Amino acid sequence: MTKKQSIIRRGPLEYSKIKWLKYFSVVFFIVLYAPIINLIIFSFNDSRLNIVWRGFTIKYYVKALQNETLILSFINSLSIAFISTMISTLIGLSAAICLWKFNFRLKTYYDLSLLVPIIIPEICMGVAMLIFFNSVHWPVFTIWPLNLSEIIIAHISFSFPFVVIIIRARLGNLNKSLIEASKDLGATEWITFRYVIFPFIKPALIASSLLTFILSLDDFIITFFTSGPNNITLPVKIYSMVRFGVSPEINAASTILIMIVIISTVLIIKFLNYEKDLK
Amino acid sequence: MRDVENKSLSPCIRIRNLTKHFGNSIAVKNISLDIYKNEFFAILGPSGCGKTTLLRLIAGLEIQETGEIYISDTDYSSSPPNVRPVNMVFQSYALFPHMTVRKNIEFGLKIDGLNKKTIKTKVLDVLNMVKMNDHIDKYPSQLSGGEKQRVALARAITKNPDVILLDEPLSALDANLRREMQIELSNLQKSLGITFVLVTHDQDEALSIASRIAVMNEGEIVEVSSPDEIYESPKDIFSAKFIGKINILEGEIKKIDDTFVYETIDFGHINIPTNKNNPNSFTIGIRPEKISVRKTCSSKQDDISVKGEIIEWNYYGNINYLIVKTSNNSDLYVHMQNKTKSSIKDLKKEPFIWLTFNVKDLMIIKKNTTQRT
Repeated sequence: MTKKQSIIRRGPLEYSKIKWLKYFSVVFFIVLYAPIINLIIFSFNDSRLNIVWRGFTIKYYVKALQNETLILSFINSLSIAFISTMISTLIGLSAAICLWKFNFRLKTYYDLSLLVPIIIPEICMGVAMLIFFNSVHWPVFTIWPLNLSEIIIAHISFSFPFVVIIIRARLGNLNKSLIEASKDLGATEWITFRYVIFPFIKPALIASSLLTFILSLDDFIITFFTSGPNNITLPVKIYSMVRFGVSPEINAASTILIMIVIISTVLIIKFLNYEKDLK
Repeated sequence: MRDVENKSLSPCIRIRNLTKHFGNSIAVKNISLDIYKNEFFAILGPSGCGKTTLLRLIAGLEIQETGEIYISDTDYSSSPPNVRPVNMVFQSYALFPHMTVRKNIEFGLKIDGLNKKTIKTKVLDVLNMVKMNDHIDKYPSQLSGGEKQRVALARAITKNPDVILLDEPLSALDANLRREMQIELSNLQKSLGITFVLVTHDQDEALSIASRIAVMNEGEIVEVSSPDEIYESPKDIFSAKFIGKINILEGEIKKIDDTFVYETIDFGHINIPTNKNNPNSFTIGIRPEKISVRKTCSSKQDDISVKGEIIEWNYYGNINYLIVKTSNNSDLYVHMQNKTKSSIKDLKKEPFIWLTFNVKDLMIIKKNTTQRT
C-alpha cells in the first residue's frame, strides 16, 4: 500500500511529460492541414490535370486573374464583405452597448435571440432568406451595390450577433469605476463614451469587424441561396468551376481566398490580445 | 472643542437627513453631518456599514432617496457627478488604461476648457507635488500600486475641487508603503488647504491622519470626534470596541449614600461620576495599554490592582499582547511594552502577576441601546 502511494502520479494537465501525446499532436496537425497545404502547393503545379507534380509555375494565378467572371465574383465578394461588415459592426456595437448599459424587460430572451442566427443550420437560414426575398418581391437592381443587396442583408443578419457577443464580452471587463472617474472629472455621457468607453472597446470592435469580414467573404451556403446569376461571389464561382473539373486555376483562386482569411485571422488575434498590453 | 465651534461657521459639506437603500438593505440611514473647510475628515467603519455609499452620495455617483447635500453652501442634492465641485480617488485608482499619466491628469482639465499652456503647467505642478514627474509618459500598466495611487491623487487634485474624496485609497498597498502614503496624504492636505474626506476601515489610518473621525455602523453615524477624543473617551460602545482593543469591566452601577459606585466582579467598588438620570445606561472599560503589569500590588491612591495569571503571550518585539486571567476567571487584554531587555524573562518566572491601573484611565461609555448585538 505504502509503495503504491509513493509512486508520483502524473497530473492530468502535465501534457508535456506524455511522449506519445507529442507524436499524436504532430500527426494530428499534419492530417488537419495537409489538404490545405496540398491545395496551395498544387496551385503552383505546371499540369493541367493536377494529379502529379510537373514543375513550378505561376501561370494559373495569371490565368485566374485574367478570368473576367472570376475577378468580377471576387470584386462582388469584397464589396459584400465590406458593406455588410460596416453595417453589422454598427448595428452590433449599438446593440452591445444597449445590452450592457440598460436593463429592460425580457432582456435575457433578447440575449438568447441573438444566438439564433449563429446556431440555426446555415441551409435553413439560406432557404429562409430565399423564401423571404421571393415573398416580399424584392426588386432586382442592376446598379452596384444595390444588385448585391440581398446577399448583403443575408450576411448582416448572420454576422452581427458575432459583433454583439465580442463587444459585450469586452464591455463586461470594463471597470465601471473608470466611467465614474470620468464623470467625476467633469465629463458628460458623450465625452465619457468618446474618450473612455470607445478606446476600451476599440480592439474588440476591430477584431469583430474583421471576423464579420471573413465570415462574409467565405460564406457559401447562405450566399448560394440569395445570389442570382449576375451577382455570384467567389466561393459560389469556385463551386461552379469545380463542377467542370478541378483545375489549378481553382487552386489559385482558393489560395488567394485562404490568404485573405489567414491575414485577417492573424489581425483578429492581434487585436483581441491588445488588452494584455494595457492592463 | 472651541476650535470646532469656530470651524462650524464654515462647513464645507453639509449633509442633512440622508437616506439610501439598496433593495431591501439600508446603506445610509438618516445621516446628518457637517464637514468643515480644510479638515481631514475620516469616515471609519466595518465593511458594509455604508461608509462608501455615503462617500459616493457626496460625489453624486449614487443619488439618495431623501435628504440634502450642500457643498460650499450650494445645494447639490440632485446634481450629476460632473458638476459637483468634488473629486474622488477611487479604491481601484480608476486610471484610464489607454492614456499616459499626462493624459490621465489632463483629462479633467481639458473638459474645463483650459488653454494648452495652463494645462501643461498644471500637470507638471501637480506631478511635482506627488513626486511623479519622472513617470509622466508612462501608462498606468507600467506603474506600481503606490505610483498609481499618486497619479490618481494628482488627477483629483489638479481640478482644484472644494473637496477630495478618498475611497479606501491605501487599502491595496503594503504596510510600509501605506504608512509612507499616510504621512504624505496628511502633508498634502495641509499644504493644499482642501477638505479631504477619507473612507477607511483601518482604525490606525483614521487615527493617524484625520483631524476628525466619524464612526459608522449599520448605516448610521455613531460618533464624530477628534482622534484622541474617540480613542481615550469614546461616547459610544461601538466606537470604543471598533477602535483599538478594550476591556469591558463587568458589573453594575449601585447607589451608595449619595454617590454612584460601579460594582465590578474583579475590581470591587469603583467610584465614578455618572449621569444621574440614567446611571444604568453606562458601562466602564479600560484600554489594554493603560494596565501595567507588576510583580507586586500597587498601594497608590486611585490605583486598582488585581492578581492574575498570564494565559497567552503574543510577542511583537517592542510590545507584548497578553491575555491575563484574573482570579475571578475573567480575561483581560494587556499590552505591555518591553521597556528593558529582561522584561519578559523576569515576568515569565513569576507564577502570578499584578495588574494595576489608575481610576482616571477608566472610560465611561454609553451603552448603545439600539445596538443589536
